[in-house]
Amino acid sequence: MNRQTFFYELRKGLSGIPSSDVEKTIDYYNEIIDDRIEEGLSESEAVATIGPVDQIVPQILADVPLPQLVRERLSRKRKLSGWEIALLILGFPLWFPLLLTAGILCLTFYILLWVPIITLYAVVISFFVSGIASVVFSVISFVTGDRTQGLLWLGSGLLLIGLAIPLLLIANKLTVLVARLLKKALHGLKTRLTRRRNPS
Amino acid sequence: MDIQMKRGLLDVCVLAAIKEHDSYGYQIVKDIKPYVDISESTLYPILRRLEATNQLQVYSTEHSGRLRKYYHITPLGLQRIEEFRSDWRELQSIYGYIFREELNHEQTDILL
Repeated sequence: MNRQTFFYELRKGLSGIPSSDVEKTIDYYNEIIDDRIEEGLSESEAVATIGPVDQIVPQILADVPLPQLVRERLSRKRKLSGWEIALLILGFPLWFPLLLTAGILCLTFYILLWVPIITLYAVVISFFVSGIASVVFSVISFVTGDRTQGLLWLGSGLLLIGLAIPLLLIANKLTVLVARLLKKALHGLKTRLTRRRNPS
Repeated sequence: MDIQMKRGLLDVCVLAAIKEHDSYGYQIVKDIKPYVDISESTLYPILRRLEATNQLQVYSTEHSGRLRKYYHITPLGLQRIEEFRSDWRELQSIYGYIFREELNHEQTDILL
């Protein structure tokens, strides 16, 4: 790959970030390639040592906040023509509820992801609290002389606490899983925002 | 090495590479490479981050007919290196805790 192809690919990958940032990135790699050539490598060798564009782009995107990517994408849109504006206004009763529904659906999905975890934690807490309460009751029962009831309370108390521990572990695992899933989704969204457009 | 751990370490490594005198991208990679595995593509986001957080400044100078960007450490960058020093003490004590058994064995071995 020569320098031009490399920069073409790089621009394509970075088309969603502000153009001043793209130019800075190009300058940086240009300098690196020049320095390598100065050390005796050929242009294609110098480009090859930098590595594939697919690996460079995600590293840069990871540091760009999502709102900035969205803003950039919106601001780069060309001007709307007259009939497009008319269509937008006339279509408002149609597209607005659809957009709203899409937004609410996204929010619902997000909440749905967390609901099982919150429920699980609530169960864990209630098990712990009732388990400890049962143990306390068993002590009281033993003191007042009711051994049968005391044993019953102690048994159920230990059972509840015993159940709470694996449930807590499961809840923790699930939290990590959901957090990872959301991070992946965010990354996917970022790549989508930048990849869809060709360099202008 | 763990990615998160390496990320923090690399920031300080880059700052250390420009601590004594200003340097440029390719030279920084060459300086750090014997110690930590780093490429130009890894360095770039780090430089951007350090510049955005005002830990280094960038200026261009002409070099054999083209412009080359040099990186200069700021007081904030120097402070970051100092912070790493205290982090390092903490890390050492954590290391001591994690491998306390092996370390104890080594000590008894030496005594024997």
